[in-house]
Amino acid sequence: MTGAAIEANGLGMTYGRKRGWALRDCSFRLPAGRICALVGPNGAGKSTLLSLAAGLLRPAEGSVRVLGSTPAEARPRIAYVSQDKPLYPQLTVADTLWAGAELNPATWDRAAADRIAGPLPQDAKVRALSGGQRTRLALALALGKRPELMLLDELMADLDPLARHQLMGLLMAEAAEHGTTIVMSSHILTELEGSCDYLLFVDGGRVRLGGESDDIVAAHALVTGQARDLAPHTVVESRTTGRQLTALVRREGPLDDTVWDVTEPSLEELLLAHLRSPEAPPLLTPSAHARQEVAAV
Amino acid sequence: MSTLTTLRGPARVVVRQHRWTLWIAGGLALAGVIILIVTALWSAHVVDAFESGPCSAEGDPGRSCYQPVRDYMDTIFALSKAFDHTATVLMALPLLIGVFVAGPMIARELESGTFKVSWTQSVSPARWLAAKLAVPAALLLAGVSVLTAVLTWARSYADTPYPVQWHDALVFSTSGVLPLAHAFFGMCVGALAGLLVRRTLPALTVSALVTGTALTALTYWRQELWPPRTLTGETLNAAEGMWWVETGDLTSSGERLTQTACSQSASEADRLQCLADHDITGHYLDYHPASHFWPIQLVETGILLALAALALALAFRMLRRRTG
Repeated sequence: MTGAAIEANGLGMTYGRKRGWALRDCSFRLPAGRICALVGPNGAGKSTLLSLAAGLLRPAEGSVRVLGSTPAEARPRIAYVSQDKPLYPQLTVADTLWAGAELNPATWDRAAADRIAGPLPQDAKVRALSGGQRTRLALALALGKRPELMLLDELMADLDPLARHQLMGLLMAEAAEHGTTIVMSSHILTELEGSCDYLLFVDGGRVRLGGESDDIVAAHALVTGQARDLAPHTVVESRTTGRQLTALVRREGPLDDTVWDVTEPSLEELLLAHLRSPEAPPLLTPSAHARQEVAAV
Repeated sequence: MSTLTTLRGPARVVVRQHRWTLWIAGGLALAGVIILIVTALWSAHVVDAFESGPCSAEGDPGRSCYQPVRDYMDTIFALSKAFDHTATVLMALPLLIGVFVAGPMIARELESGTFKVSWTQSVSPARWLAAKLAVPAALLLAGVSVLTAVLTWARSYADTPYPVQWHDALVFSTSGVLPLAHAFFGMCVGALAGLLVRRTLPALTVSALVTGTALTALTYWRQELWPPRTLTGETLNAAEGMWWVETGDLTSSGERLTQTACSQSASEADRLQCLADHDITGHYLDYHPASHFWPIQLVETGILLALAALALALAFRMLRRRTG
């Protein structure tokens, strides 16, 4: 069995007593080698989760382990790109890549960085770059580190569709070649849907869905039919128009398709339904269950 | 050794990030050294030229020498001012270093978010801070040592008629090892202020205030840092180079009266009467001889280094607690 890229146990984070919990009681496991979409509405705790995994913050409670060790110990093997793409404004593009080599002497892969940063004006100061160019440079810095785990917070937000497509292609090629685990957060699912095989859905500071995207989708069904009791299935969301019932349910055993018109929901429908129904219970597939400390082999 | 090699990369990045500031600082230090050397040589030349002439600055110059002596004193005074100005800049240096470390170096990274880049490379936050401090520490060690040495040399070489008092704050704080201790202290306070306050302008303000207050307080209480010697007697023979701490009257039982009670007496008879009334038999003077220069320097340096170490320990501890 492959190891865990990230394993959180009862992870919680607060930025001060008045502001409440940014993340609370988060337990999940992300197996290594996955491309994971970390989705959720604004303020759900996605950035906090990524910062904790990157070792930028210390958890207020619980623990997070990354690549089998603490985030601090795993620092050389993690790359992180923050939402606002901070870079040293007074350095040029070439200087920034040089700094990447100086700060990651053991792992720096110049060719990988150049593949991403190639189209950028090498002598331009970072402060003169456009948002999209900064994203490209930040990603070049992250890929040049040749990490085992990439934590990308809203990476693509500043990019036009063409650049997004191109960078995503490069990123996926690198990940496939080196077996890199990638966690990409976004509040726009469609941005990630095509590329990711794993899903973490965070809402209100908690993980509500976690696991292989296919398995999560397959665990749910969109049913329509005459209004009646849906037991034993878990109803995530339902709507009745006249005697017609439309519902998104979590399957607990087979669905009777003689009574119901059953279709598979899209991932987006699934997430929207969960967003509208905060009381729906969380679902983690077996691979996404945190194994506590006992599982140490 | 391994610490040194792992610091090399981050330190080089720090130098690249702040290269303009470092160039300017280096240029100013060089300018200071040149100004001091030129002033010293010029002063010596002016003194030589005057002394080989017919006039003397001592006593009554006489009609023909009045103007040359006056010109000579004016020139020498103006030149000795150059030393004072350089010394003032050297005294302000700890504040400037602290401001630079607190603001542009540390708080700006925390404020603008670039710390997220620095801390997610292969270098731990502690190494990042160590590199941020190693660079200014190395530069201030070199720069301040050279400036202090050249200033001390220039003061003695110029040999102007304006005497240099070793205990003068402007002299004492800019000679010996104190300039280094002050600068190092300023840097460490800057580091702690930057990490604590996390915003550029407030951080550099706090750093300057704390460093300024601490150094002013130490200068104020400098006399207390080493036990003074005491001179007693009916008349006091105060010599040149003594740093007066306290003077007053002594009674026959040896009790000290800090107020010179009888100095306001109208006549000599009144004064004697007054002395008898107060049972005053002599005077005392607490003072530091010039040989206390090094003891006081070393005690003050010790205090500053201890405070600097405390600030550093707090800074690293805070960084560790925040990032895990």
